[in-house]
Amino acid sequence: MLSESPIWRIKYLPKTLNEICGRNDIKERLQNLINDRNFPHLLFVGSKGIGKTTIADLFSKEFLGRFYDVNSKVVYANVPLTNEETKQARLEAYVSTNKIGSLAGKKITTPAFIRVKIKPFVQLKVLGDAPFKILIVKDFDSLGSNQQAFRRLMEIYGTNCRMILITTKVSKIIDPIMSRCQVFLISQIDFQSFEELISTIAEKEALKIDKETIRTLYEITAGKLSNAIDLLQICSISGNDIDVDKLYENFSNSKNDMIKSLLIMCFKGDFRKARELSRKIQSSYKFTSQEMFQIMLNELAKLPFSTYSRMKLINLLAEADFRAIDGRDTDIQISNLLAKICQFSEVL
Amino acid sequence: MVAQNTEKMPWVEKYRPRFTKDMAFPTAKVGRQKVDLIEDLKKFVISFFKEKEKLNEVNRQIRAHNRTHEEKEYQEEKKLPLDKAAVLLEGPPGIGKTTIAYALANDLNMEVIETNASDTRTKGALESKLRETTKSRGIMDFIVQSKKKLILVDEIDGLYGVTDRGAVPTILSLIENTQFPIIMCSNDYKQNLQSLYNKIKRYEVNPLPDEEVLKITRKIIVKENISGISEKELNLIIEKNEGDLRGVINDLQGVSQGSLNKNTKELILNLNRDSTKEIFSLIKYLFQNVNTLKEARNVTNKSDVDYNFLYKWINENLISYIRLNSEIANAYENLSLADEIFGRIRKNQYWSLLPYFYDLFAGGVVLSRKHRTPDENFHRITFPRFTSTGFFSLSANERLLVEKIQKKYKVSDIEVVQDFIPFLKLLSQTSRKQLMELSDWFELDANEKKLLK
Amino acid sequence: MGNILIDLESPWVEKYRPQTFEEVVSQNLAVENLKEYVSKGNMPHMIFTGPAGTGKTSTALIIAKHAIKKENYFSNVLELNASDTVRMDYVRSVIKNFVSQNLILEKNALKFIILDEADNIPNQVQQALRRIIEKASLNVKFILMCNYINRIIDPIISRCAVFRFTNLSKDKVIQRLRFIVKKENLNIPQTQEIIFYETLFFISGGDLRKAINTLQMSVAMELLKNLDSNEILKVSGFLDNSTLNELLENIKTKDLISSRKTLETVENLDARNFLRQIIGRLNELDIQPGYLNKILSYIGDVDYRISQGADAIIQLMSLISHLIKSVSKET
Repeated sequence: MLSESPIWRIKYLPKTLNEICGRNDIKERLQNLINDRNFPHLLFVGSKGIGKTTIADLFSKEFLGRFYDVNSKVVYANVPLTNEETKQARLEAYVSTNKIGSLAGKKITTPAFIRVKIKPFVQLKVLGDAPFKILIVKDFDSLGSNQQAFRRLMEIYGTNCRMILITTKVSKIIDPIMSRCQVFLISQIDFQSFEELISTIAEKEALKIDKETIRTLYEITAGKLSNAIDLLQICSISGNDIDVDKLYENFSNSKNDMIKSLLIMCFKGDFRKARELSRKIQSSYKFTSQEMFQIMLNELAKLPFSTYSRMKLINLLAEADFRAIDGRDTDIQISNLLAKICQFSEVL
Repeated sequence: MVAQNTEKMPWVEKYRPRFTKDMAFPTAKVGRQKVDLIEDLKKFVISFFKEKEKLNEVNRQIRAHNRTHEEKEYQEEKKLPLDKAAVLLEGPPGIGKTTIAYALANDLNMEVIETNASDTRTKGALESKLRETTKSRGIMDFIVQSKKKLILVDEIDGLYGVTDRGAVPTILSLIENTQFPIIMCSNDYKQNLQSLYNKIKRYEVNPLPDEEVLKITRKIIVKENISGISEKELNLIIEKNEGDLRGVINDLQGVSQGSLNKNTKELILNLNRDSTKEIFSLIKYLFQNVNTLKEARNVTNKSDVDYNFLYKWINENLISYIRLNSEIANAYENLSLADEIFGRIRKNQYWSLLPYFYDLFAGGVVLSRKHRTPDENFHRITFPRFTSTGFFSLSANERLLVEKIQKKYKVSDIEVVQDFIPFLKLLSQTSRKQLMELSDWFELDANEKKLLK
Repeated sequence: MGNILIDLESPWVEKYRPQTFEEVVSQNLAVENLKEYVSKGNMPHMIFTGPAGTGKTSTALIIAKHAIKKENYFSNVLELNASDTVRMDYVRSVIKNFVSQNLILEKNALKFIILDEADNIPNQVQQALRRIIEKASLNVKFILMCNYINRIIDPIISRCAVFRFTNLSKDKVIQRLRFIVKKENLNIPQTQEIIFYETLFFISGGDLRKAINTLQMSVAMELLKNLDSNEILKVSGFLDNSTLNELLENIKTKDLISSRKTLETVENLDARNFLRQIIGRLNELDIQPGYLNKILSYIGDVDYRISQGADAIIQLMSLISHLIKSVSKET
């Protein structure tokens, strides 16, 4: 049972659409769709970690009721196919059933991802007393040019299966898909709802926390609920009184901190050590070079550099980011940036 | 292929025989029997296409049958027997295995699709590479309907994981569905490929006798007008290479085209064919003795070392030789540019950019150094211990842990690794009890538990 | 108010696609010439080039429909999109077979091959295609569509008549939008009307398809109730006016940190749209003499980098820092 989990963020996961923290406008719109027993394809847009998938999944659960298990599926579009799946994909290139015309009897291939992970699900008829199936596709923008093929699926199987597409980058979604979806902009949790939920948790776990502390919690974690609850749990280990100091003490966003140390090390000019640290971070977190650069940009803002230095560093980051797009070796690309920063630090 | 400035063209390419009639005949054995390799291979290729056509006809009829029948009455399409689809050429490097394939293809007016099995890590990568090469080069040909293809898979015994189980099935599945005949090459007999040897014909190719090699090299010396090599040195080169004709020609080119200074000659004559040592020496040599771009080119041109590795070695070791931050930055400017170019080459198949790649990662890096450190000669060259592919890759243990977690908590791989597991580690570190509770709830075993500590 | 559902079957772009030459929104000369060709039945092969959403596909479909009887349409018209077919070997079999098939017995029957996004076809394949075009009999017509004519090889261009479609004017776009609004019975508060249409046009940049999609999306998101053009801008990936002004202030006062914070508040940032907005407001920034060309050139770099996959925030921050550097020192 999820509610018996020793991990609070799992224990307090919302179990129904209503239990979702904040976002009342979204909840209302979704509830209307449930009442109508019908909706078109949907597109959920919002920044990373804000709750899009959770909301989509809960919505699907409520919409389909007891037929949820067989008629709903969550698919991650940015996870590469396993070897078995790729093999299966090749085997399933289908033969067109057109009897006449130029496509008759020809072998047609659609992108492997769609063939293996999507098609089998959408083709199967809906089971039980549900108007249609629901397919949730996370990180939809990573399909890139395969979106066209996906769109055809949406057209052909639309009556049997509705899609809920989830993305952080709306600009990467092609127009034909956007015009077939109803768009939901998922925003950050508002403070009031956040406060309510945290207070409830505090009560259940016998913690003492005041409003000011909750406000600080909200700010440190940028409203991200899972991180906030994690932090609460860590703090509670050393006692039930939670105050602002305790929060700061325990708030180690280790990956960001490590990258901050990395920047500082570069600024001291020690390339060798910097690279060691960078490799350590790489192997723990499996970052791509772009992800590391993004975090570096964030951490840069927190360090006490002069405007001139800051601007120079941002430019170095931009160049390194561009170069890394086609590069094959993450370590070399990151080392490149580190070396440039080390060099720059000497100039100052 | 773009017409190349022959001054820069490797002699191995320039003097590679184009047709089988130009070749010194290599001898080969199958089992105990001596065979005429070229004749055999010709027969193999021709029969492949005959058999394939017969098979296609049969399958066409099967498909027609299937279209008009119920699923339970479906017949399965037939496949070509493995030994008609592929052969294996086994023999030490540089004796002409690749050359035979290309010459054969020229004779039969076919096109060769070559891929190297040892620089792909997984079956998936190898397959997609094969698929890639047949597609991207083939579109033009498909439309214009020209040459048939011959698939050459080199260094099959270098396939990663060849010592694990799964190597043979990997290779077999590649052969099963091929549209074109496959010639595989390997350097050594490998015990665990035994089951492969049972399914397809294996030719043990013999190296050319020394006199043949001498003949060939003398021809080249005349054609290239080389005067700086004594008979003794020539024999030394031939002896050292032990039947590896490619090695001989490369050495010949290196010695005569290099700056002909004593160092280069010495290096080439003394360089051992053993790869790791060779890389060590190569890198040392690059950093210690190379002073111009041309010298850098010579050294990398003549080397057999896979450029995939070489530039990673340079990444690993350049900080031993370059100490100043400004010079390190320069070196990395070149190296990262080389990496970017390499990425584009692989992505778009722009192989004509390869020379720039070489220049940048070798000469570009090495020449960034202006200052030397006194303790240079005592540097230890280290293996590139850190290889990253940029893909989200987990070790087997990590993957098991992630899967266990995902059974109870439905989030993506990336979120588990980057966000959730660090938190679990923090929590586990606070007390033993916490660790117990966690691993109980997720039902972790001892190995997985260890990962959280 | 209940949800206005998007009819699964027909997004408005499809529903209101022009069906006759007359309906095609202003391409003037191009369309006039085409009408003549089609009526005479004496068409050359054609290339339609121009920016997105200007009517190329619609026109091609109209031509095909006019020239071929309805019952023969499916077998006499081949529609291909280059970006998803060009890698497959069936380009050879499919196109070649289609060109040489003589399925329909009517003597003077025309056959069409409509190739969309032809500029994405790699050169080698274009070469082969050219041969097919050469050898095709007189009753087979090719219609190629592309955004950039310079990506089509010369031999093909010389075998086709080129028709250039241009960006649509504001009046024409708004006219069409009004038509759709009327047909769909939408309620647009009178006072907001003009700004609404202007915003839609700005977002579209002359691309009618985009304008219609944005219209439909605004309706689907129920933005028409309390019509706020800023919301529509946000939803389309632009900065709304107040945020944009704030950002410009940050830049003028050379405040890098606040610029970053302002940028962070944008929830739905489409970097390339943002660049369009910035260029529009550059003259407000009082850039030092001699720096303007550098900035414009850098904006081009950033646009390119982002289109290749670089991270938008990193590149935009870099642009902002360049802007800050080049803005005059007065406050």
